[in-house]
Amino acid sequence: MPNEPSTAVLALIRALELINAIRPVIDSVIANEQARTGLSRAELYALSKQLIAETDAITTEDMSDRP
Amino acid sequence: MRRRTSIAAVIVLALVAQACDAATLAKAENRMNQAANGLNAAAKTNHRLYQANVINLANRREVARVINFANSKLDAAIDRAYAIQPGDAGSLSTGKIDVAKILREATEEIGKLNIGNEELRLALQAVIALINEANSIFQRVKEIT
Repeated sequence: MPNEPSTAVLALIRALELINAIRPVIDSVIANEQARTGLSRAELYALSKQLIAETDAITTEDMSDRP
Repeated sequence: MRRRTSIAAVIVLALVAQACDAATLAKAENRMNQAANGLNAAAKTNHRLYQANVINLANRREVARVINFANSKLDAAIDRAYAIQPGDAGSLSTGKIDVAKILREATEEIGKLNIGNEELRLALQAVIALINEANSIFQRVKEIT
């Protein structure tokens, strides 16, 4: 008589079935915020740093005594 | 049959929670980017108003100083947030405390500014709101993967 899969294995198989069923939902939850900017995490970081550098340059000039 | 479905459901719920957490982190980082945008806009407004003789040199310098300070704090907070090690709960916990402290320093300094110009005042109030919201969302992140 062949060995039957354990409960844990069967549970894992069932989990994988459920994951496949709701994968589009999981992917859209993660992608939603990124989609709002159209940027990856690394791109968003780079953009933030660029803005900060530009602001620093503008304010450094405006902090000076030079009219 | 029912038991393995229950176990499977627990696994799936954990994965969905992880996905939601990743979305929360993305949302927080998005708000920080918007705050950076807000400070940039305020800096340009300050510059423009001076050039249009709407504000004087002393006001221009003081507003620029505050924006510069807040900008450097936001820079530090963003670096701190992105430096948190994925999967490290301790790193996330101390990172959240550090980010909250740094961002609070930024908003407190902006809040002390007594600006006579309505356009600048509203612009910087919006920045405070964005920074506070970014921090609030970031504190809700449970895990970085």
